[in-house]
Amino acid sequence: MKPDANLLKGNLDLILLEILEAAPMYGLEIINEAQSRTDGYFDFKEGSLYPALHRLEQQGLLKAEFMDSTTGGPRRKYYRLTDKGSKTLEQKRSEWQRFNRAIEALRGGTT
Amino acid sequence: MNPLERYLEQATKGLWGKKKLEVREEITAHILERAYKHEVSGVAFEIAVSRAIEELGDPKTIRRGMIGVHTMPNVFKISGFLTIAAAGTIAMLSVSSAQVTGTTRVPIVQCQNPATVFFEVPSSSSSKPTQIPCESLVWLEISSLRKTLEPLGVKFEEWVQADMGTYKLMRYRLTFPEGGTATWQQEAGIDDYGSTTNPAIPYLPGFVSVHTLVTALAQVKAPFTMSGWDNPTLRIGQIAFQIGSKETRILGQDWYRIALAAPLYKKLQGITLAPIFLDSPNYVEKSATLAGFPIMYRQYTHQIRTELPNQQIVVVVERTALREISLNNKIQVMPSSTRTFITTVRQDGTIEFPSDAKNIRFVDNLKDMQSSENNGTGAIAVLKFTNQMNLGSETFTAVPSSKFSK
Repeated sequence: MKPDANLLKGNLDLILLEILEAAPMYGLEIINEAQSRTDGYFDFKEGSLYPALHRLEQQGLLKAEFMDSTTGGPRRKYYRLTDKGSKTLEQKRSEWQRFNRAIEALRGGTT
Repeated sequence: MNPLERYLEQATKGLWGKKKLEVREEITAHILERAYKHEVSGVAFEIAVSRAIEELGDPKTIRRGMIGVHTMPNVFKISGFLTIAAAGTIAMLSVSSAQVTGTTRVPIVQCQNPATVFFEVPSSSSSKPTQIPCESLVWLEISSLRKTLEPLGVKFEEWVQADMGTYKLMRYRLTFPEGGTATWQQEAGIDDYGSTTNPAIPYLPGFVSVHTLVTALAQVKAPFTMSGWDNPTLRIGQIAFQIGSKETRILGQDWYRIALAAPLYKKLQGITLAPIFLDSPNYVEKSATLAGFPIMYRQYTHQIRTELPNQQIVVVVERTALREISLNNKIQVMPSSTRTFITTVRQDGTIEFPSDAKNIRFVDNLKDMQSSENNGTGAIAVLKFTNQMNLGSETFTAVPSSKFSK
């Protein structure tokens, strides 16, 4: 079962920052990583990934650098988390956990 | 054009310069890597590329997202260093001046309604679309600019930043005697569509748009002022030169409209629910185009007497309840609109301006204009800006209507 598109869209920044925390990656690698780490649950619309990466770069959460491809193709643009990006990731994680706890509380009938 | 090139063009249409090249390279790498994987599984390369393109999805998704991230901030990035001196209010220039000739003007491409100041592009960060200035641009011949500036001690450099085959990315740098630099880049040559790909800032080979030049000159960390109406004089530090010439005039209304578009929009956006319309230079013909169709509309000329000084530059803001236009021989009534007209006070103290409304009323502040939607009467506010302005800040003040007389 795939996640609701709005849920995915609303949490895209968190997902991207979470993936890039492990290591710098380029666009296609991020897509593959998201799929493999979630058993295909996160299946991005590829075309929407790049504008999101550029936006995060512009916000200073990511830093990007072109590097030669290891397979001889065109250069790849690698994205890595900045310090600001790491802090934002922590904040977003906390928000998500609070939200999750609140949902769990609702399920349990308590607030 | 092969499918990959076509996709890249569609995905990056609207991006500009280095950013466009970077996105092209990034998307190319993505498609080719995907294609190689398909090829390994036994698919012909052409089919593999097509499949990779299909997986990447509609190029418009990338285009819309990228424009929202990259194009808009650049359009409004007119630096705080840019200041303008209203005509007739600064001392005569004491340094030598020179003229840049060879100006031309072309209509902007891709504006759905050329009479509209702004056109809308989707925003990635907001559900509301982003507005980009949309207007006829005035162009200066680069070779003439060079001939003008070099004798004044400005070092002029140009080089090819990137050669993409179908077009080149040119870069220009002006180094002023006091040390400040102004740089800009623009595409040269004709791409496969026969035009540039940036809807906000098109280009003409060999010419630089005044919009681009103003933005570049604003990088120079020196006082940057402008004086005069038609063929205005620019002064950057100790360098002064005039743009336009007797043969190729740069109209003050065009120039000030370009230079003031961003702050004026900021001032107006609080009151405008409808599109902002701007007079085209041929407004006296009372014709325009709307979504590609020629239209005729009624227009009245009004004249008021003011207590403002001669040559004071003013912005006449009009909000009309109805706008009657003839489209395809059918009279249609457009919803209310707000539009601006930039002009100067004449020697006898009068201001003349066009209006859609026969009867107009003057208001003392922009908020009072909103009620004009209900009573069918056009509302007019006259704004003036300070003599020495900073375009990054509030620059317009409303002139009290008590200062007007018919």
